[in-house]
Amino acid sequence: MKGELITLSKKDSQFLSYIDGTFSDDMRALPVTSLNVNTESEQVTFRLIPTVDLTPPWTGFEWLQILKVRNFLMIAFPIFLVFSKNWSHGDVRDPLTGFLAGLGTLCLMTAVNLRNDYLDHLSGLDRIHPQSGSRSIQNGWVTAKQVKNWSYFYLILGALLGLRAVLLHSEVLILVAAFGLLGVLGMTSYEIGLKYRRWSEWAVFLLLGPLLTIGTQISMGGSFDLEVFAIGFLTGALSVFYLHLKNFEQLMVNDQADFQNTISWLGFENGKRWLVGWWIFTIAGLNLYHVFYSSSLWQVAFLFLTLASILPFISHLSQLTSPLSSRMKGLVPLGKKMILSVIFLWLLKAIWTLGLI
Amino acid sequence: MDLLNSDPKIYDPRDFPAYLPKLNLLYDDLFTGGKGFRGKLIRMFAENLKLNSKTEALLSQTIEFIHNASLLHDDLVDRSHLRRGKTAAWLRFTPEYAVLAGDYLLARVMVNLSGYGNIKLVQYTAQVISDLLEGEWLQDSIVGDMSVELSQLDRVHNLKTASLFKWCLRTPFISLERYEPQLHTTLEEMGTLLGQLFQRSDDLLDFDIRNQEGKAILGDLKSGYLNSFAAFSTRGLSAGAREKLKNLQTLEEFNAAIGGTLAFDKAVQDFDEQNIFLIQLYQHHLKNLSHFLSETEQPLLKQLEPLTEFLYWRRKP
Repeated sequence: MKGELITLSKKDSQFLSYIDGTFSDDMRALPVTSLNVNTESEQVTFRLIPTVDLTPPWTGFEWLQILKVRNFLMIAFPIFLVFSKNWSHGDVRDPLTGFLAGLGTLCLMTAVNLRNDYLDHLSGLDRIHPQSGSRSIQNGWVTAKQVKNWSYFYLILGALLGLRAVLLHSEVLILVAAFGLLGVLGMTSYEIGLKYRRWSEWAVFLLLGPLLTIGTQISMGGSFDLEVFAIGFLTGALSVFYLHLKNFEQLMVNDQADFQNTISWLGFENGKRWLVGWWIFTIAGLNLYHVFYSSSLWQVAFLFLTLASILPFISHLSQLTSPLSSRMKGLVPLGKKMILSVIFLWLLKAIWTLGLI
Repeated sequence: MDLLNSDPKIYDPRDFPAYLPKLNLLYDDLFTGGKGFRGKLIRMFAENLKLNSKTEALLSQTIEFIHNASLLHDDLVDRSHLRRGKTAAWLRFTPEYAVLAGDYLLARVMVNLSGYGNIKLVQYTAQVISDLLEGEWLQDSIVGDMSVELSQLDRVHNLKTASLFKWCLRTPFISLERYEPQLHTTLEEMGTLLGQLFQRSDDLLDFDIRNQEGKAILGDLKSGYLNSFAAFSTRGLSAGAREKLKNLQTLEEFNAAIGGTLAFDKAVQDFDEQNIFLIQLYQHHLKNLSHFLSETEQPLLKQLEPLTEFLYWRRKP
């Protein structure tokens, strides 16, 4: 792909307009190299390409990628678990509000994902790591500014959809406030955002875990109970496990650019131990949950599935001898398979509980 | 300026203690026969930036000391038997002497630089040595990994090879106390590109491409290391097929493994094309560099321009 090259430093007045794509209506600036990322002397070399020359693989594809549709599962899954639990107990008192609140949560999460992509592009994380983010901005399918604007759109849409739940069940307001606070702390700006700090994983844990399930429960007209908290705790732990895997895969790049997270703090060897520990902790909790809330058939099924996942995972990790090892590429897919198999079995159990199979 | 031929032996035997057995002998052996390219690069900058001869000598000596220290350690880590056509130091002397001689060179670097009195120069040099070691460490961690990708190797080469090129480009300005961040970022980009191009070209020698030096064929592969061209040309192979590359002994066997001579030629062509883009990027940054140079320093650009000809295409400029 040919195109004129231009190099700008962070101190150049045009820098931001090239990064967020507002410098021209008919051209896109694709970052080729980014040096000294995460510092004041950052310098980016862009290749200027006419917008008409940049076409996504197929129409609509770029939006599926931008909206990270694949991540919807991590939101829809806990919502469905809470719904099925309440349905089987005959506790769904306000299905319409619950449905709207669920939809609103999806929109809010989409807003978070979009904002996340925008900030990662701005900070340089997605520019220096070839596997990070949706790649839509870096491929020039959309500008960073468009992604930012869409994040506002989904934020407003999410808030509107959740309005009914807030008006009818005032307790939801506390959860919305907590959700908003985490969102603001995490995604306000690259400079002060929690996202690039250690322990930021706890925000993900709360957002995709207890806050989500308890919020869903209350929106459906129910009240807080321990099972809903346990569901949230486990789905949050699964989401954080995935995040740790991604951070481990990107350990070298993150550490060199001083993007901090728990894995970069622990380092390569301890990071591997942490991943094993986190998975064992998660599946131990999962099995404990099913001891309390499932029949013995499902308890055995979960025990068998989760125990079977440990050995291949430990074996894969023990063969990882370098952050640049080619086996690193297989780690996230393996982790995904482990998470998806747990989700699949749990969904099966939920559907069975509903009497649909 | 002849980039290929210069005297890399830029030290006096009195620089090292005479009472240490074999040390001067080891260094005589080590410093003879190298191209001294990095020292030449320093001289190029020194002439155009009007560095005094003391500073020029210090910088030239420093880069050659660091480079040769890395070779001493590198040969031992890689168990290479030959260096510049001669028996490697760890074999001719002992592994212990090779390690100590390398450490000693790095220690001399710090002694000499700290005596010069520019703390930023000391700081940056220490950073480069640390990058070099990180690169060596990471490279060792992927030996035997036949599925490693070009982008991963680039990270190693950026630390291991490019760091010294960056040092050559930046330290003449640091010694003049010219610290403009944008100037240094531009030089850093240029150094990264030169290092990458040099390494990729060096990796092609392993496959007898533009191998005027007569470097041993498939040396990297035989020692279980997939170099940048090997990673690029085998990227379509299955993991199993890549694993078998370790056992290849001849270039013909390698050609057959990737689909025949035509496929090999195509891989070289595609690899060259990818690197032509790096050359374009280098030329782009060279233009940017002109903004930071005074009128009397502008001739430096003319001398830097053909570097890629020598470093990648191995053509005498």
